[in-house]
Amino acid sequence: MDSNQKQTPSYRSKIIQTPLNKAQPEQSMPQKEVDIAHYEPKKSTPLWSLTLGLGILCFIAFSLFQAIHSLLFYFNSYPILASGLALILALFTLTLIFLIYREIKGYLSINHFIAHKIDFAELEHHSNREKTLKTLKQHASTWDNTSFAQHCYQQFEASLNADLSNSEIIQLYQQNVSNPILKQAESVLKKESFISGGLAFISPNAFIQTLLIFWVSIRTIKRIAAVFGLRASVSGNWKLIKIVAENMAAQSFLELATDEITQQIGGSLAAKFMENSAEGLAASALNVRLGRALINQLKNPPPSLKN
Amino acid sequence: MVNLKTSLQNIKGYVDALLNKSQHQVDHWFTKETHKIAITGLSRSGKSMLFTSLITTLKYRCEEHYHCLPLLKNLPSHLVDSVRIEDVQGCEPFPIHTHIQSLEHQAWPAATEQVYAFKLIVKLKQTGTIKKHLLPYSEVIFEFFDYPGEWITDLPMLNQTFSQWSDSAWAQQVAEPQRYYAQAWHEFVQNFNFEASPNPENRASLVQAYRRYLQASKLGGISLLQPGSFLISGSGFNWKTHGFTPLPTKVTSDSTNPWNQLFSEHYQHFLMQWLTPLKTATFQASDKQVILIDLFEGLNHSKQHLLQLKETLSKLSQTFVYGNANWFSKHVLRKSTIGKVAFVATKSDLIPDAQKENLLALLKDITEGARSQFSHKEIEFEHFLVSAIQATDPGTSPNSLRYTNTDNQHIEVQFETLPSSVKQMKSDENFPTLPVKVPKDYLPRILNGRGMDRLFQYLLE
Repeated sequence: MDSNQKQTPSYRSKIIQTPLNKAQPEQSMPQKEVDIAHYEPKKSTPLWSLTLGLGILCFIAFSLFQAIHSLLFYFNSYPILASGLALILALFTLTLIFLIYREIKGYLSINHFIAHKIDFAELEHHSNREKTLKTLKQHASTWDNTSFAQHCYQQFEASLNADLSNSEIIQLYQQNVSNPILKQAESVLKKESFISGGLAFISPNAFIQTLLIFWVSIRTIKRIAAVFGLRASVSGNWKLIKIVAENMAAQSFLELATDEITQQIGGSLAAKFMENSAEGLAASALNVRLGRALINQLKNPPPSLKN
Repeated sequence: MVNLKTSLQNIKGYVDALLNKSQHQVDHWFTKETHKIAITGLSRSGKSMLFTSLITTLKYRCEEHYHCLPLLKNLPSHLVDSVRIEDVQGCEPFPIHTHIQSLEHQAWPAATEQVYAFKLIVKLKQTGTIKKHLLPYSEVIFEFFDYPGEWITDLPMLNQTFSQWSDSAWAQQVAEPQRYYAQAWHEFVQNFNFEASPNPENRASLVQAYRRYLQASKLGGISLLQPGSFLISGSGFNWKTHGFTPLPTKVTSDSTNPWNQLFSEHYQHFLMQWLTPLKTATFQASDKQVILIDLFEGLNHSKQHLLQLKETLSKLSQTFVYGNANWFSKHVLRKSTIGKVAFVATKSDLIPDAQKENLLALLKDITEGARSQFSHKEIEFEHFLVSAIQATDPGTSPNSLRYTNTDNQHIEVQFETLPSSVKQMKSDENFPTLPVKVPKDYLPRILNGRGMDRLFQYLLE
């Protein structure tokens, strides 16, 4: 045994502590999760309805104005009425200008969206978490603020912390953003295809059927694009309309096919039922195809993460 | 006629019992996924806080739908129907409410002095088209044991005789870092008369002196303290009547010495009556192991303390059975071997984020010896940094953080670079532990804890 008494060990501290004159900040509770299945995006202003309404209003106003004009002969004799009509017309013009602006913005955003998809393979390869976060943030900044995609991104952002590695961030993005968006888009597509089939089945004639299918197709595009964070604008989304055109062309072909089958069966009530059923199924299937084509256009290629 | 009726009723009873049992077994195979996880941690490694945090986070994630544990994809929150805790037969229930009350009063949960056990059952909704109609729910069951960390260091004693243990304990006491704390004990032994026959008085004085050394060493951050069971009152071993101490080599080498004979007898009693049943009941039936390591205890003291921690972990891993049991041996032969190991450095919120890479590297260096125990087997292992509660906040620079100390002072701490291996740490330097007080907003800080999701996802995969 050692007879020498050991001194109390002393070490050089490798930390420096400085008292502060303020209290520790309080942390807030984590964000609450929203049930994806029941997510409803916030309703935006029905601009189309407003424009149409104002157009009708103008039509009515001018008709009324003409009626008044025809009754009183002189427009200058009625300044208040003329001012009212001018106000309505000005509002209509303003909303129309805003609509045109939105269309141009939509046109640019759809091209930007499709051209600038996230390259996860590159992000994985670089293994730079700051770069990954910046890329993801930039991508999300192109989305509509009230969209489902933006909502998912906010949840993803809330779950980030400094401990997460680059691959974990990509994995978390897939889990919280990419996968829920795809799931939601599939769910919207399923619902719209069912409606498309139903409308085709109950349509009394080919013209109404074509109109209805066209309407459902446009609606499907708009809703799926909205899930991905794109505000659909019909004139701007030429890429999306091209897919609709494809869908409609294929629809005509299938109509010919069902016509041929119907002729073979004959003109009985049963045959009519069969024809409508076949058309309903075809419309539904084509709507699915339309939606899938759009989803493939909009989604990011998945990363090659092992887990 | 009556006999026949009774016999038929008996047969019906047996058949019913058999059917029930088989139904239960089938149910168990198809709808239940049990993970028996041995949480192995030395004293002060943060086991109780980890359990408290896990239960609280899962509860708030499931019932209140807070966005916590984002990496835990095997338990997706939208599929979790409920989370409940069940007791384990023969064990005291885990005192979660007492621990939560302590946190509410801004105090850390009290040290564990007896075994607590619980089952954490997560009920999941099925998503498969057919399965959700036939078996609408499945259950993921975690079985956890919380026990005093002092017991774990005693397990390596099972592989030693009294003289082997005594010699190795003595060798440790004369080396750093124990040497400083063992001065009074060594002085006592030097003056003790081992020629005198043992009687209750001189035996008690010897054991008490050794216990005082153990207590002083524990306060000094020594990790390898044997028998640790002597340190806590909840141990099922009476050290007052069956106590023993390491003896000088001159005594252990003489097999006729009455002290050697007496302590050998007490040592055997300790192994047979206490340690073997403890290992069988608490540590045996696990297929996964989480080894919790408080690196700050070593960093707080010295390089020697870290080296000793490395040695302790290495010795500890020798006492567990590692291997990959197949389905037959696991379910039919009921053999349990540990096939997956997670090494976890706890309290990772006590260093700035910029230093976590070094802390992880240091953890990997510390576990080197323990990992070599199963290097020849195909055992999965991974290293993790976990903070069961995020008690600190970022500071003004990447290498600083802020915390409130036990005197209610809010403090900013500037860190120098943490060593990424024991070798890199200088002998005359240390990183003093921060005396962090439980923050008032403990609940959001638990829910914002780090690394738990990564750890439990790994265990569930």
